[in-house]
Amino acid sequence: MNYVLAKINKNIGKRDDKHKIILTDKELYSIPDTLSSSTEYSMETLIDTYEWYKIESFSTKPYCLQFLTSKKDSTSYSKLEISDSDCISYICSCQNNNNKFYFQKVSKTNLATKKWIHIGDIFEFQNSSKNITINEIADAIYVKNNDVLYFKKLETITSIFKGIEVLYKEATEKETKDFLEQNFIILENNFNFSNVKNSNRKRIALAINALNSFEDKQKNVVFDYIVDYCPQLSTTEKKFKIASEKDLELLSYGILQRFYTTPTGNEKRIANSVKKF
Amino acid sequence: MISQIIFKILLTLSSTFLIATIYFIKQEYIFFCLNNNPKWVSYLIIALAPLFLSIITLCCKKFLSTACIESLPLAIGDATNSFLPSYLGYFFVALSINSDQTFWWIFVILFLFVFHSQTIYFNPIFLIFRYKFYYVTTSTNKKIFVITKIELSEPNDLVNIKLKSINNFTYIGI
Repeated sequence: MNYVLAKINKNIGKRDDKHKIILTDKELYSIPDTLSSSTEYSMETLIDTYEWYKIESFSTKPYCLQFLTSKKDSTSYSKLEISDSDCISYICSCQNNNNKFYFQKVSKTNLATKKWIHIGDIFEFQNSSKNITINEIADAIYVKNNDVLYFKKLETITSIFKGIEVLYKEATEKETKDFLEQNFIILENNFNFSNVKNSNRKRIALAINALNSFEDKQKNVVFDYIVDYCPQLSTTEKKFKIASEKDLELLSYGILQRFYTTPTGNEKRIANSVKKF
Repeated sequence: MISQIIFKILLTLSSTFLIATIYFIKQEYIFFCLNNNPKWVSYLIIALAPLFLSIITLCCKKFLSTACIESLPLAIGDATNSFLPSYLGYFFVALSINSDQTFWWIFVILFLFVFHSQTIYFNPIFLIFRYKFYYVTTSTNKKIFVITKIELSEPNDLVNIKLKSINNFTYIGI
C-alpha cells in the first residue's frame, strides 16, 4: 500500500527516526521515462534537463537513510499532527509496496500560509491556506530492487541525505589540491585543501578556468590588480598568503577580476555575478 | 480533527452504552409513550440502542485513513479475554447504583476516562458482528491492537490486509 511520510525537524520523541505519516493509499508520483538514461554522479559530467544522475549500491553508503533499508510499513509510523506541519523538511512517498521511494524537499516558503482563490465548485477566497505543492518530478527517487538512488541536482538533496555533499567534495578534491599547490600561493596557518568548503570549491573551479586562459603577461596584470585591492594577501615575493577561507575567497574573486571601484565616491566593490555584453 | 473527535465520541458511546442499558433495565424504567405496553418492549428498545450505535460506528469507519501491514508481524495474540473481564466490571457497577443522579455522574466520569484511553475500541457488541480482537507485534516490535473479522491463526494471515487506522496503535479491518 502506498503511503507518504514527512520528516520533521522538531525534537518530537526521543528517537532519531522523526518520520511520520501524512497520507495513505495515494500515489503522488510516477516513474519518469527518462530514468534509464542515467549516469553515475560525477561533478564533471553535466546532464541535460531530462537526464538523471544515479548512485548505485545506495544502501551501502553512509548517507543512506535508515528507513529505506528496514522492513517498515505504514503501521510502523505514527500520524503527524496538523499542528506540527510547520516542521516538515521533506516528504517521501513510498509506493509500489515499499519498492519505490520518491523524495521531495519542502521549503519553509512552501509551507507558509498563502492567500489565494481556490477554484473548486465555486471561486472561494482563502485567507490563510496552507498547502504542500507536489512537483511533477520528485527531487530524488530510490528504487529498492536495484538499490539505486536517482536525482537531478545534488544541492537539492543535501538536506535530505545528510553527508551526501561528500560526493561533491570528493569530485573537487584533486582540483582544489592542485590549485592550492600553485607557485603563487603560500599556505599559512595549517590551511589545506580539506578545509576548503563547497562555495570556495565552486569559485576555485572557475578561477582555474580563468587562469588557464591567461598568458603570463595577463597573469601578472591580474596579480597586480589583486595586490591593489587586497594588499593584506600579498607577500614580498609576489605571492599570496592564504590562511583562511576568506583569503581564498578574495583570491578567487581577484583571479576572476570581480573587484571594481565606483567612478564617483571611489567605493571598492565585489561583483557577485557578471554578465558579458 | 472534528470528524476524529466525533468518531471517538461515537465509539465511546457505543462501548459504554451497555452500562446505561443495564441500569435502566434494573431500575425497571419504561418509555413514557409505551406506558400501556408490557415492560419488555421498552427493555427491548433500550437493549437495541447500543446495537444501533455500534452499527453507526462501524459505518463511520470508512472516513478513517487506510493502513496496511506489509512486513510479517513478529507475534499475534488474542485480546478478547484480556478486556472482557474488566468490561464485565462495569456491569456490576451499573447494577449496584441506586439513584439516577449517582448514575449520571458515574456515567459521565466513566465516559471521560474511556474517551481518553484506548479501551474505547473494545466494544463487546463488535463480537456479535463477528469481529475479533488481537494484539499484534509488528516487524518493528511495535505492539498494536487489531480488530478484524478474519480468524488469525498465524502472523502471515495479517500481511497485506487492508486496515483502517483508528489511532497510531489501533487498527480495524475493513
